[in-house]
Amino acid sequence: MEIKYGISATFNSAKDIYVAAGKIREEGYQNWECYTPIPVHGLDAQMGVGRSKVPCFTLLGGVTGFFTGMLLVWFMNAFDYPLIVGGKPYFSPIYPFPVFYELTILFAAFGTLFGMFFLNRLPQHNHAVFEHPKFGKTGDDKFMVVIEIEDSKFDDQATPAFLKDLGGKSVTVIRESID
Amino acid sequence: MEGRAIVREANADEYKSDTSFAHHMGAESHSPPIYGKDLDKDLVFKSQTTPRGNSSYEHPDHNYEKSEEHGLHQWGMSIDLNQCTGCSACVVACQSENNIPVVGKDQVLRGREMHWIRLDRYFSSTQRDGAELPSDVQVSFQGVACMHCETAPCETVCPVNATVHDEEGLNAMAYNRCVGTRYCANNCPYKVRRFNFFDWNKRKTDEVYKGPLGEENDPVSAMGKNPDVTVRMRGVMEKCTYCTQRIQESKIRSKVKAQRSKTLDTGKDGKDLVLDRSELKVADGGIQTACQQVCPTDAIVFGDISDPESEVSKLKTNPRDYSVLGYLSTRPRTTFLAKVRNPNPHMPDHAVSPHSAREYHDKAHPSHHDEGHSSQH
Repeated sequence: MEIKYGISATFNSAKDIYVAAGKIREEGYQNWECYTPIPVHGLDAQMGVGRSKVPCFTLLGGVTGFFTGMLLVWFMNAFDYPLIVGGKPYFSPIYPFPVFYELTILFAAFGTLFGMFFLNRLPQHNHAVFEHPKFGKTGDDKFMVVIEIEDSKFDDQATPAFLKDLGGKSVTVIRESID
Repeated sequence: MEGRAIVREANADEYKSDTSFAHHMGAESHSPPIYGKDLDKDLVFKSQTTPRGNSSYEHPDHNYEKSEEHGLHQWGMSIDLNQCTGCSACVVACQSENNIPVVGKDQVLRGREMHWIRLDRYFSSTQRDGAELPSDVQVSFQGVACMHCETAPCETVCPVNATVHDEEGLNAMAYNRCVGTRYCANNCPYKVRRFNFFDWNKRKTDEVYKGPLGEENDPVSAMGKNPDVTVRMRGVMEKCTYCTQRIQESKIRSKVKAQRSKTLDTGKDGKDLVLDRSELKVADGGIQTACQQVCPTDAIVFGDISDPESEVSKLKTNPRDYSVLGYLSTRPRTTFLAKVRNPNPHMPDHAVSPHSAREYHDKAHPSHHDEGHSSQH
């Protein structure tokens, strides 16, 4: 069985897609994406894409790691099995700092990696756009815009017409198969 | 000694004018006090609580288990350099008591000797006169074993907590936990830790390099081992334990004795029998370490330093008492009593100060070089 994924339109130059992206943003679309063969500077801002949220996961991971390290040292050295080592206190935030530090780094790295996976909805084995016969061209000389059906403003008639108005060529419905 | 006052000596006349001459030598004599504000506290307090001084660290005290029997004694040792004759009996006694392997000349030349206590000799002289060997040599002896430092540098660096303090102040070594990183030996300022580079006990001395293929030792030599002490295998660190087997044996013996006499007195037995702390204590002199036992001049005294009446506590309050490398704030439990020499003033080689003290003052205070060496700085 197949369901509709979205509607695509191709453009011939970076300038065209840049202008089109601005118009789509102004129209109020949220779930849409541009596919370009080259990096188009300023396209992110033109599409209205904000800053990445991955640093939030990094910070979260780092803070978690720091306190995990503290908990680890406190549990092992001061709670579960206190041992006098070199006359040092059982727990102190100073001498076991390398442990806290290392775990901060480790968990921050995990936060970054898995946060990125989560935000990108990875792992994802296939994407509906890949099935589109014109998609290969976006690695060559075509620029493509895909507006997803999930968008609240999506309309079966109005959206293709809007894309055509923007100058989009070969406006096509993309379908994805679900089993 | 390179100006570090490891052995501290004075002549009898100097000692008469300044009995605490040992306190005026070494880096700690002119550095901030190791114990900080707790400097003047007594030995009982210092041994039981490990005072923090001015440190921002809070040192744990030795009764974390909060049980009556924990930290009952605080072991310490005093070695009187005045009485040491350098006979090396302590070295042999320790070797025999603690199953320390004999490694052979070849391995000793490689620095792999296994003695838990060694006898350091320091030679000092004043006039060399260009001669290869100086004519007026004075020799100082010092037996050095594990000092059982309160703030032990070896423990800090062990990645597996194989060497930690027990509640009675012993620097304990868990052979089973040791993975042989040798960090502890590297960090020990007294260089008293010994590593088993080979299966000394298992294999013949000339077969150790063959590892598991080497011929095993004659079983007869195993019969000569002390059954109360472990035989260490290859790859673990070992060091003086203050004869922990003797300590445990004495503690058990005095506990059994106390239980028996109390049972006879009260008629109670088993769970009903409650012994209090003072009854469990081992009497002073009840434990003799192997080195102490054989010392012909009784230079070594071992005992409970949390008991102000014990012999070792009294010796540690002697003004001649000092810690070797005390300026490192390792707070060793083994301290030394400085040596007092009594040379005949009519002899031609008589000097106001012992040569080692002279050398110390020359090296530690080079700017005072031309002043009298008898005065203390």
